[in-house]
Amino acid sequence: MAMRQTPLTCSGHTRPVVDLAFSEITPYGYFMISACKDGKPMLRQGETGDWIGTFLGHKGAVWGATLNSDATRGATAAADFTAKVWDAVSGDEVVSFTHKHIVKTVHFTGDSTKLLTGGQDKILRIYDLEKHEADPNELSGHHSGVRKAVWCNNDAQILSVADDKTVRLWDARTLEEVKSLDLPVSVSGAEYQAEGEILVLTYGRTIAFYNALSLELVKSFDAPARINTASLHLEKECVVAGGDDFKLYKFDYASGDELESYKGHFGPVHCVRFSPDGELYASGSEDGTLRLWQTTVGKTYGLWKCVLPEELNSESVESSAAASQDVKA
Amino acid sequence: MAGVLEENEAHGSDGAGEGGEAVEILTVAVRTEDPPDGANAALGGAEEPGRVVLMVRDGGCATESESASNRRPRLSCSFPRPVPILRLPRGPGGGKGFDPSSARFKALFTLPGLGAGHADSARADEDRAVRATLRERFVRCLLALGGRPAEFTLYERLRMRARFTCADVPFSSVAVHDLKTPLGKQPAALLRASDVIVFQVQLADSEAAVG
Repeated sequence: MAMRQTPLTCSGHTRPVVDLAFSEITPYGYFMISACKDGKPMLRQGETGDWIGTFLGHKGAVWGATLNSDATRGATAAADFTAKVWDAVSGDEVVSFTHKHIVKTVHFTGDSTKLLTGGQDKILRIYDLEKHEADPNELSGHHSGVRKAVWCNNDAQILSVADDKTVRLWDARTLEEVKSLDLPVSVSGAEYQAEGEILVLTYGRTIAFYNALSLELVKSFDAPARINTASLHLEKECVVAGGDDFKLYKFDYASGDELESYKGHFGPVHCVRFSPDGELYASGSEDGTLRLWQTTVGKTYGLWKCVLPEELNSESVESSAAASQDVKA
Repeated sequence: MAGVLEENEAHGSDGAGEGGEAVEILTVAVRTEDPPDGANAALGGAEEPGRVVLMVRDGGCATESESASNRRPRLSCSFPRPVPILRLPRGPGGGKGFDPSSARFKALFTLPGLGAGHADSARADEDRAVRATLRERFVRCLLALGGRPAEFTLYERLRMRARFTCADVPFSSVAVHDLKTPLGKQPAALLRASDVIVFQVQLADSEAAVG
């Protein structure tokens, strides 16, 4: 069923957006960081899409980006073989960790004391953010480049997804592999949800949900097109996904039925994530833009205002024009 | 600076816009500056730069029979037409952003490692001296390369020969002369450094400097 919705379009990147992440809700709202092949990740206000700043310093495409829970630190993984940690308040680089190959994924622990990195050299590394010069702990085992790695189980374990078609669970203390899951094809996208310990994987046209700690399949369903990314709503009611047909899809989690779909992007969708309050979801695309979509279309939230027909007479033109003064970028 | 736009069509941002409907639009002054790297032309491809907030004066549901004429459509229903809203970064004047006057910055910003021990500040001075030397060497190198023949490799396997002239301070643009492009020869051109993958400068017959 195709509905109409006005997304907020966040422009500014000059190349495809390949990753995005939200912070948790902070006293200043919540924030979003976007990774782009132009090498300039951006920080935006999550509710409105307002640009806050650009992290300057990488010399190659940025493949992964993340924020710590209170959005005071950001981390990015780039093709210049470095993972950088940034001060998300001032935009300055805090530390840069050099690797031996392209870095693809970064993730903070809940207390922001450690940074997990993974990339094309197939090794996961844990860096101590309180002691930058210390050598990282390494977890080896993957036979191909790592696409995504996250802390799970309250930072006691680590989940990694790699191009060798496996998902592996590791113990963060002993650095040993605990469990492994073999998949038929390469995974295109992965999302980890701490609440409920759910791992969302996309491959081909399938969106699959696994228990993150047992790596058992919970459920899966298919989409109308090849899917690159999916995100599960925090209340586990719906799933949004995007892929090669440029559309955003919303599915009912329980039944797998397609609820809504939206056109808007001018290129394949590479990443989609729900906001921490579940009221909107952000998508990043090959067209270089991010779009913010409402979960409940028509609700008043952020810059979206619910206008009923009877309100829309002479006075409303002036009031909506006045309201739009805030809509400067 | 506000760039006021004039459009005579309302498009749905989802691409399924009703083409050809002429609806008068009340435009709102918004900033239309380029994103920080000045690459306004490359914004997302299909998005017109500078098309920001458009407010529809009469959000009528125009029927197809009225779309041919230029007159304002009759208001048969009064739903507001959804319009696209573009969230742009601030222009070049803002630099990298992270506004120091924002409430969040004032509350959370802490200067890194200020007032550290004597040893640290000595190391910082040494750092600075080394950086200055390296920077000077780099700049002298660029000066020495000026005027020499070079070959630039860009995306999509494009190679172009030119004479390297100079680069700007942040090395975001490279100035060249006699650029041989597939479309012809440009006497002078400015290449975006982010578009260049590698460039090779001929030093002498037997040597080459690769950048």
